[in-house]
Amino acid sequence: MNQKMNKEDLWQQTTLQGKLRLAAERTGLELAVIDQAGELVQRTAGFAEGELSRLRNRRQALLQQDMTPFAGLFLVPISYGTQSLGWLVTALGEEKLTSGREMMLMELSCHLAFLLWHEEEMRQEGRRHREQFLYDLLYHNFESSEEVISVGKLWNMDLDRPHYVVVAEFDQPLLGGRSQQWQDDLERSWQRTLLSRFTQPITMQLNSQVVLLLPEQENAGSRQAGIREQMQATLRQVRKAQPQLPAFSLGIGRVYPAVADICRSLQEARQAVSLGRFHHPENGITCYEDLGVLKLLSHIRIEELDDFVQETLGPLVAYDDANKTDYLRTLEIYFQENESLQKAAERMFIHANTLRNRLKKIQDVLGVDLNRADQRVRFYVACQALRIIQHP
Amino acid sequence: MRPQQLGFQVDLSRCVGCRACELACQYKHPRTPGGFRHLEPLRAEVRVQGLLSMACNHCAAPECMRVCPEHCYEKLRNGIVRHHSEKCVGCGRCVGACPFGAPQISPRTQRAEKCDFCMDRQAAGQLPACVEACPVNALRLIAMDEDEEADANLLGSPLLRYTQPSIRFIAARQPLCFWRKEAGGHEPKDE
Repeated sequence: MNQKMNKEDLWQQTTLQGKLRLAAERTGLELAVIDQAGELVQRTAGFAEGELSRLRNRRQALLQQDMTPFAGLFLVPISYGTQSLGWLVTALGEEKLTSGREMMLMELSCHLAFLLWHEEEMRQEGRRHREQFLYDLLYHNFESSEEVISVGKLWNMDLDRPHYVVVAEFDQPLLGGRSQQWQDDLERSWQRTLLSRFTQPITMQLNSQVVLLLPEQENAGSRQAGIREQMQATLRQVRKAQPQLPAFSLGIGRVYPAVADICRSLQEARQAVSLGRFHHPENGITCYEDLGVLKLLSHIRIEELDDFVQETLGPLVAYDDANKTDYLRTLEIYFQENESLQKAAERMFIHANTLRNRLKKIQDVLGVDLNRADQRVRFYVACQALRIIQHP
Repeated sequence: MRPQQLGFQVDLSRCVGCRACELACQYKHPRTPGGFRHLEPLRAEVRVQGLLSMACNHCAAPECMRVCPEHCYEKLRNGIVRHHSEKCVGCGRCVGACPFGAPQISPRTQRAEKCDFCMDRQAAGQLPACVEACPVNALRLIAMDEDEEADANLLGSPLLRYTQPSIRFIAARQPLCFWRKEAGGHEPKDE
C-alpha cells in the first residue's frame, strides 16, 4: 500500500527536482542525478560536494560502467531503451539499502529516464530548428532582411550588427567512426572559448566544417588585423583546452554590413580555409583579403598553371635535378619570407651571404634580374602556381 | 525539412551520348535557347569518345552566390541553388565565376538563367526531366552523402575543389568486345 502511494505521489511531481525531493523525503537519503560523463544534473541540498567530485574525477570508470571506485555509493543507471542517459546516485556510507528504499529508487530512475529523454528530445528539436534557420541565413534562403533579423531575435541573435564568418575545418580528412565526435568536440570547444570573448557568438556544423558567426566588436581598430589577432588568441585557448584535437585551420571571410551578405562572407571564408593551406598546410589562420594572387590562380585550369610553371621555373628545376641543388626551394622560401634575406636565411639554417650567393646563382640559371619588379612578380606567381599544382 | 544536398550521378560506362538529356532540358525550357544541359567531350584518358552530361551542379559552396551583387541566388534546404531572374541585372559576374559555365545570359531577357533542378517537377514527386529522359539510366538523382567527396576533377579546374559540386561520377570501365576476333582466330587481349 505504502509503495503504491509512493508511486502515485511520484507521478504527481512533474519536474526532476520535485521527484528527487519527494524520493529523498520518503527514503531519507540524499540523492543526485549525473549525466554519463559524471557532470551534475540535479541534486538534493544535502548531497555531499566531495562525492560529486569523486564521480567527476572517475568518469572513465562511469563510462565503462565499472563500479569498483565508488564504494559507499549506490548508482542506478538511467536509460531509455538502448540510450544511456546518466545515473541516479545516493551516498549510503556503511548503511545497507532496504528493499523498500531500493524499490523506490528503481521507480524513481524510471521516472527520471522519461524526463531526461524528453528534455534531450526537446533540446534536439530546438537544435534542429536552429540549424535550419542558420542554414537559411548562411545560404540566403529568405525573403527579406527584416524577416531574418526579426526571426534571429527569437533565437537571441543580433543580426542587425555586422558579423564575421569564420570556418574551421580539419586539415586532414578524418577516417573511421570518430569524425563526428571530433567535429562535435571542435564545435563545443569553440563555443565555450568564444563566449568569454564575444557577445552572442553563433556556432554551427555545416557538412564537414564548423561555422562561427562573430559579431563585429565596436572598439576593434583595424578590422582585419583585429579579427586575426583575436582568432589567434582564441585558437591558442582552444588548443590548450583540447590538445588531442586533430590539426585544423581557420578561414575568415570579409565583414559586410548587411545580413544578406553573410552568404558571401561564408563562401569567402571557405575559400580562405582551402587556399590558405597553400601557405600554412596545418593550423593556419587565413583571411580572405590576404589570399591575393591565389584567388586568381584558383580559377585557372591545372594544365595552364603547369604550362606557366614549366615555362618560368623549368630551367631551375632542370638545374636542381642535374646538380642535386635545392634552388627552387630557396626561391620559394625567399618569397615566402617577403624577400627578407635575414628571415629566409634563418629558416634555411644558412648565413645571409650564402643565401645572397644562391640568389645570384638562381638569377644566372634563369637569366633574369630579380631586382626588376615585373620579373619578381612573374617568379612569385610561378611559385604560388607551383604550390597549387603540387597539392592537387 | 532537414537540410540535405541533392545531386547528379553520372555513370560514364552507361552513357552512350544519345543526347536525350539535352533534348529533354530544351523541351522543358523552350524559351531558353539550347536548354541548360549540354554534353562535354571527355578527355581521352577518362574515356575514349566519351561524353559527359553537365548542367548546374548545385555546389555546396556556390561561386555564383558569392559574386552576385544583387543577391539573386539562394540555396534551398534540399541543396538546390536557385536563381531569381526578376532581381538579376544581367551583369554576368556569375557567368564568369561558375567553373561549369552553368548560368548563361539569355539573349531574350538579357538576364542570367540557369538550371533549377526541375524544382516544379520534384515538388510534384517527379524526377528532373533530364534524369527521366535518360534511356540507359546513366544520369541519376541522388542525395549526396556528406562524408564522400564528389570527384569532379575530370574537368581539370582547381576551383572545383572549393565549390564542392554536387555531382558524382562512376568511372568508365574498359568496354568488352564480344564479337571481334584477331587474325588466327584468337580473341583480343585486354589491355
